[in-house]
Amino acid sequence: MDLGFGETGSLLIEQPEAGMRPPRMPSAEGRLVARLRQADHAAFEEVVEQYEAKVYGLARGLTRNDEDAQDAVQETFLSVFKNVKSFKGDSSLSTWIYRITVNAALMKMRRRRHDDRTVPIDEAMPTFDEDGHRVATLPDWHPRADEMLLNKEMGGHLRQAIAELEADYRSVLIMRDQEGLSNEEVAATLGLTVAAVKSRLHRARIFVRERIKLYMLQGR
Amino acid sequence: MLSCQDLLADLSEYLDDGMTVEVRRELEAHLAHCSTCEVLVDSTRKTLKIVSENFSYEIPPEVSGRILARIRTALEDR
Repeated sequence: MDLGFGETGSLLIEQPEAGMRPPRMPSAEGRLVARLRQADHAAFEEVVEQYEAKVYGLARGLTRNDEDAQDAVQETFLSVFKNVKSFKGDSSLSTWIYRITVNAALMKMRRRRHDDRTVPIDEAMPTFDEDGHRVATLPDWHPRADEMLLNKEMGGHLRQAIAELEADYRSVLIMRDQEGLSNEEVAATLGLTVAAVKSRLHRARIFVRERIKLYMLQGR
Repeated sequence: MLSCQDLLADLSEYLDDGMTVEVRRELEAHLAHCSTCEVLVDSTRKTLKIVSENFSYEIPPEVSGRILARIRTALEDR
């Protein structure tokens, strides 16, 4: 996506195809980027205020560790500060910031490889008979499931299930379902196609649901 | 008639309402007579609702303050 830059280096909103041509106006994001490039203190504070919650949520969900998440958030914003002059506007500012966050979180995760709690995703996928019907020897879901999902202990199991996802799937589920980014934003952040995001999200959701089912049935 | 396996393949798109009316109708026809899949759809939807509504982590205020302080220092050192 070519967002285009004005003479001041601002990102520009798209122009109408025909009719009267209004003066070219930088978008709000373009103005913010221009201020960041000028090392405007207030602009950096605005960026931190605007993005810190999502950046932290993303880093915390990926690293599964509060200390690493805090470091990743700090590194993300310092990197934005240091590298904003090389930000070309090929993606939105938010996508660029989330990409830096994911990279910072992945670096932390690499250092904690010994603490890998992931479960191969195929292990949790449901099985079917030759006719495509579910093979289930146990009841599929606890009768009191809704009530159980809301209790604190089950909330912990749900977090655990997400933590057990392999990183490629966890990152998509966290961005999409936890932090509410669109498929397109997740795709741009991770450098994937939208189809690949949907595919990973699909498997991640089934994995989490199946893991929670196991906890529920064990706790009957 | 769709199988449970077909429904599972489309589960995520179904939950996101990202399919054509025709495919949705076929899935709903299957759901109308398959209690196993009905439970699967319902429970997955509820699980994801909890993730989206309750699982975002709150950034501790001291972390937020520390980030701003470091950026201010970095700006002043420029």
